[in-house]
Amino acid sequence: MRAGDDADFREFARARALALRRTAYLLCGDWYLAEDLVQNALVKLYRVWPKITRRGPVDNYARQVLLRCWLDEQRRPWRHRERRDGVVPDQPSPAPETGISAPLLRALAEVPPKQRAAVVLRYCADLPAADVAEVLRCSEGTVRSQAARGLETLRGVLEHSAERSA
Amino acid sequence: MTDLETRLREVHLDEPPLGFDPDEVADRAAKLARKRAAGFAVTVVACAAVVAAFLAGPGPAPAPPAGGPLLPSPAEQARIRQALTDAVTRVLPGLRHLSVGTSPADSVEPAQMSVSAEFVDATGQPGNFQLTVRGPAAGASVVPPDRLCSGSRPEAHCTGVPQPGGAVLVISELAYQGGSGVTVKQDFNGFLYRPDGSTVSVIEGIGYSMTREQLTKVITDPAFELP
Repeated sequence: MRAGDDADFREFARARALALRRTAYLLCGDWYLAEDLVQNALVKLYRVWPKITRRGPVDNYARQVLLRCWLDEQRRPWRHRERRDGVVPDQPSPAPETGISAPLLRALAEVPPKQRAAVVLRYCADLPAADVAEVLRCSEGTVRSQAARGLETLRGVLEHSAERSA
Repeated sequence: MTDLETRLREVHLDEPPLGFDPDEVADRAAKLARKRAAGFAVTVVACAAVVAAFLAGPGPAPAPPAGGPLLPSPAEQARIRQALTDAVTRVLPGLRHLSVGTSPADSVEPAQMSVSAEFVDATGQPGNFQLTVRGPAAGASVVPPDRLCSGSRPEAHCTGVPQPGGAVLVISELAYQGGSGVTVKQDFNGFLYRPDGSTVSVIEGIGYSMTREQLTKVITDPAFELP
């Protein structure tokens, strides 16, 4: 990769790392895994960086790669997510989410991954349906139906947990 | 806009500081890219040596390649992609659309390659999955069958199915349930272990999910092998 492309990539990575991690967290519900996913996505993105930057803005492509990384991780029940190197993390685990969003985040984790991806990108990331369709590589109609089903499932989970706690 | 949509748009996260340095990730990515390029160069040199040896006629037997496993050759990559096209067409008849090997997550690494199939089925539902073929030389990076389903997804149900020739196919089944407890989706992913140490895995993606039978037919296709 040319020095200019490398510098552009680093600038992109520095500028978007937090936003990508936030999206990854909303998908997976684990800050450590979210950071792993973002790093994997950035490494994959680096390989094709010169090619994709010539085609235009790369944000949706980056989200697409991130989503693929998460789906790969999510759908591999044989993958151990705990640290296997025996090293205790030097940072304390972030405190569990508190406040009005906590039940929503817990409920989001129970939505099937494909619907969750549509809900997270469409509503939490506030992307237009066309951008979500580009990320999910499907039609806008599919995005709308997946997001609507996701909302329906989410509503059901929230109602169910409210009934249980009542 | 519904109340739930508003809550999702305003969802609050207590974000911890970023736990990695983006520049360090870029350094790592650059190093990997150089390594891949070096692997490709080794492949080109090896191919050139084979062609030169062929043109020069019979000579002393060449020494085995030093170092680690090589990247699958372009011809092998093309063969795997074609085999995937053939398998999907055979297993999912009547597809409206099929593209193979166009995902950004596709990759070619020493002794292994991942290739995706994206399709629209006969009813118009889109789907995709990723297939990874590992040769025996990639064995060190493969999770053994007995540890396959002992991870952090207790809701996944795994079954091992012995195959002709001594291979074992492990299929994980994951059911997603809606708020009312009804199963809204069922996904199957598979991992085929061959006696020679090579493996084939299939991870399903968004949209249409293959049945257990369809997955088994794809993953056990003998065309999916690498040296």
